[in-house]
Parts: sequence; C-alpha cells; structure tokens
Amino acid sequence: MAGGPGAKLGAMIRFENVGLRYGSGPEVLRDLTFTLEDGTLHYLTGVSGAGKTSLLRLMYLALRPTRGLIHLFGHDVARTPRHTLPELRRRIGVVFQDYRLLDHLTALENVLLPLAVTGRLDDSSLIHAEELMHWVGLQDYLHARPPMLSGGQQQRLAIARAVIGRPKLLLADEPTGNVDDQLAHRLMRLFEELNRHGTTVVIATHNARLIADFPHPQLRLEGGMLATVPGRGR
Amino acid sequence: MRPTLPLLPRQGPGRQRFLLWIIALMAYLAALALMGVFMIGNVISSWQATVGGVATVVVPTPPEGAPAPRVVVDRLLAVEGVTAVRVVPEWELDALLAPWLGEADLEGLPLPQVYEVVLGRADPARVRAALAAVAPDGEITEHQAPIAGLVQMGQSIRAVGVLVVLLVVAAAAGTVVFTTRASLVIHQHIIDLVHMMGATDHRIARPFRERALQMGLAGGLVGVGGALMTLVLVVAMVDTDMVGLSRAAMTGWQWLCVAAIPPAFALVPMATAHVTVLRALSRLP
Ligand SMILES: Nc1ncnc2c1ncn2[C@@H]1O[C@H](COP(=O)(O)OP(=O)(O)O)[C@@H](O)[C@H]1O
Ligand SMILES: [Mg+2]
Repeated sequence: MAGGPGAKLGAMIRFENVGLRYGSGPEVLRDLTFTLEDGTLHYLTGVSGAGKTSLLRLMYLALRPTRGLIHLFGHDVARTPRHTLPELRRRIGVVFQDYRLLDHLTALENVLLPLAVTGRLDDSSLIHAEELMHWVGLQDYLHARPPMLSGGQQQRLAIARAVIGRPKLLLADEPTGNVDDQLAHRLMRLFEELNRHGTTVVIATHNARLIADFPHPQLRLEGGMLATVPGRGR
Repeated sequence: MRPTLPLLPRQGPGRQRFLLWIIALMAYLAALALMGVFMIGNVISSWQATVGGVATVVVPTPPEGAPAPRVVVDRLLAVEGVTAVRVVPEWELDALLAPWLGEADLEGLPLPQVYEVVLGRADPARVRAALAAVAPDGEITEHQAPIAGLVQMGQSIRAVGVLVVLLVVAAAAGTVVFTTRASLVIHQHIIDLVHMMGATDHRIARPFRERALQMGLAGGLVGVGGALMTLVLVVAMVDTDMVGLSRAAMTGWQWLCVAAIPPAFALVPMATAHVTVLRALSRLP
C-alpha cells in the first residue's frame, strides 16, 4: 500500500489534483497538488472562507475528496480499506477551531480520551497526561471541567489532547484565533518544540504578525487554489 | 481515575427511569403471554391424553355370525397410532344394561360386541376404514368429539399468545432502535470526535450496547418478576383443584423459557443497538 511510482521518500502528505465540493455546490478546493515532507512545519493561510478548514478536514480524513488523490503516510487514502483508517487516524493529532472538548469529562480525562478510545491507556498514560498539562500550563486545572476554563485554557487543553498520542502529524485549525499575542507566542513555541521532536505540523491561521514573528513556509489558499506552494524542501 | 472513560455523559434519571418502565412493562406482557401459552398448551395435551383419544366400537352380532373378536382386535391394532384395544366383556355389558333392563334374563338376547379403542395419535378416519374392512356393520363413536371445539379454541388462544410474545419482543427492539437513534443524534459531536481520533466502529458502539444491555436486563428482570407475582396471586386466589389448574403446571423447560426472557430482553436490544450504531457510523468516511 506504499505510494505510487511518483511517491517521494519521506512524504508525509501528498495531494494530486485534489478537488472538493460540498454536495452539489461549487468546488471549494480545486487542483491542489503539493507535498509536505516529513518533519516540516507549515502555515496554511488564506482569508476566511478560503477553504483552510476544508483542506485540514481532508488531511485528517473527515472528508473524502471529490476528485484527485491523497496520500497520507504513504497510503493512498481512497484505496485504503475502511477498517485500517482508524490506524491512520491515530497518527494524526487535531486541534479544532472550536476545540471540541467534552464537557462531561474533566480536563485530564479529556486529554486521556484519544488513548482511552483506542485502547492505548496504560500505567504511564496518567503521568504523561499530567506532564502535558504542565507543559501547556494547566497543572492547576487537572480536574476542572471544560466549561469552567477560559477560551485560552480550553485552547491549550485541546492542544494537550491533540499530542497525547504522540502523533506523527499535527493539524491545528486557527489555534491562536481567540487568544492574546502573549499566549499566541507561547502556543507557537509549543508547536515549534513538537516539530523539533519530529512531528510534522500544519497550522491554519490568518494571523500575519504571528507568521512574521515565527517564519515558516506557507500553503496559501486563494479562490480554492494554492497561490503559494512551498519550495521543495526547506 | 476510572480505568475507562465514560464516552457518553450520564443520562438524566427521568429519561432512564421512563425507559426502564417501558421495557419492564413489555417484559411483563411477554412473560404473562408466554406462561399463558405454555399453560394452555399443557391443559390441551392433558385433555387429549385423557378424555380425548378413546373411541367405542360396537359390532352387531346377527344370527348369521359376527367376526371373531380376535380378528377385529388385530385389525384395529394394526392401524398406525392405536395404542390399545380392549374387548369389553359381557358381564360389563350386563352391568351397563341392568339399569334399563332390570333383572330380566338376558340369556338369548343378541348382545353386540363392544371394544374400547385407545386412539393415541391415530387418524380416526383410518380406524373407521379398518373397522369397515372387518365389520361393515360396526359403528364407532369417538369421545374426543365433545371437547374438539375446546381444544381448537385453546389452540387459537395459544397462537394469539405466541403472536403477543413476538410482537412485544419486536416492540422492545423497536423502542431500543428509536432510543439509540435519538441518543446518536444527541451525541453526534462525541461520535464524530472519537471517530476522528481513530476509535473503531466497534469501540464507539460499545457504550450504546452497554446501555441497551443494562436497560433490557433490568427491565426484563422487573417485568418477569412482576409476571411471576401475578401468577402466584392468581393461583392463591382460585381453588386450584376445582379449576384443574394442576393440569396447567409448567414443566422444567417451560420455566427455563420464562427465565430466558430477561437475557433475551438484554441481548436482542444489545444486538439491535450495535447494528444501529454501526449502520450510522458507516456513513462517516
Ligand atoms: N459543511 C459544509 N457544507 C457546505 N459548505 C461548506 C461546509 N463547510 C465549509 N463550506 C464552504 O466551504 C468554503 C470554505 O470553508 P472553510 O473550509 O471553512 O474555509 P476557512 O476555514 O478558510 O474559513 C466556504 O465557502 C464555506 O461556506
Ligand atoms: Mg476555518
């Protein structure tokens, strides 16, 4: 199930002429062709409505493309049998724009959720989860429920949850959308640290200042097409 | 820290209790109907075994001679299903006729030959044909006839009972499908989330299965318990000997069937919930 003849070694994500439309609507994404190498950090930029979230949803297998090919971890997604998709999804961490924390669980339980629902909970999980809560600065809120947390705290909780499974690919949808500059910088440093440890990171954002402060290559969406394709390699 | 996290928030107690009572009521109806089916069946078979299945054969003895009793007996016994044939001795006939004829001298009176035939499962038409072959003048009277109507009615009631059991189980399964669907809609955001995290369909369906199982088992136990209490109450209120209730007494395997209602009420909904969730999940990419 390795990529086709054109697959590059070390390609984390490869899109070939990918198009997406919702129902019978117009094409939201058109002719997307790009490769994201293993271990890179990219911004995904574009105005609101440009299709950033849609592109991320294709990457985390919540949507199937209307046309084109998507390769993930060397697998042709369209030809991967449905029962092996969960295994691919476990290698992806997602920070949703709207966090999607579960209100009936404590902060710590929310962080543990990805392990719990995939049978990966073990003795070290709790320690690891507590470390992550420290890392995102929520050590004093282990047993708080999400509704009791501020927007920025929920965002950090969502990040901790996204990385507990040690994902190979981290996708963050406007993770600095609702936080002040100081916290935004702190979150960016978290993402860079993860990236240094080998995680491939894609951050959707339209925060120009953040991009200036933390320069990284960009995938720029305009009119549903890629206006800026990152150079081959870095 | 719980070993596994509850995927779904706890249900409100009101909603839970309401469902429990609905399921319990269904189990109650199913148990009563099932016990009714068994008891009616038992009464029918006891009727068939005692009153039913006996026929009296009368063969006239004209002066020119009747067939030898031995021949008649052998011919009737040869019919498939017939379990016994008894020649009613003359002294018994005398005794039977005494009330009508008084102490009159019966000597010389041409008494007919009388046979008692235990039909068992024999087809009466075949017995009749067999008799006609050896004694064309012979007459046969089945004692089953008067209760045939009762047996038929009992069988109809039993069929209705079976139908009720099936309908109630189907309704219970339908209730679970409906509740599971509603629950799926309510918790759609959780399902989407954990699906995206890489949870398998089987894992996602687990809490739904468990809920259906708990609900069905609890409801089943309450319902069957209520049905047993009803039965005990009925038995205590009527004079069992007079009504012949002992004939209805359920056998071991019949009790086992009633005892199987709570597990069935747990397993059918569980399987139903599983299939319902898996079908809904198959629509996700
Ligand atoms: N579920 C959906 N159904 C129909 N159209 C959608 C849906 N989600 C997004 N769109 C449309 O797709 C386009 C891109 O949306 P989105 O990917 O959310 O952009 P961005 O994240 O860059 O703001 C928009 O025009 C939006 O209206
Ligand atoms: Mg968006």
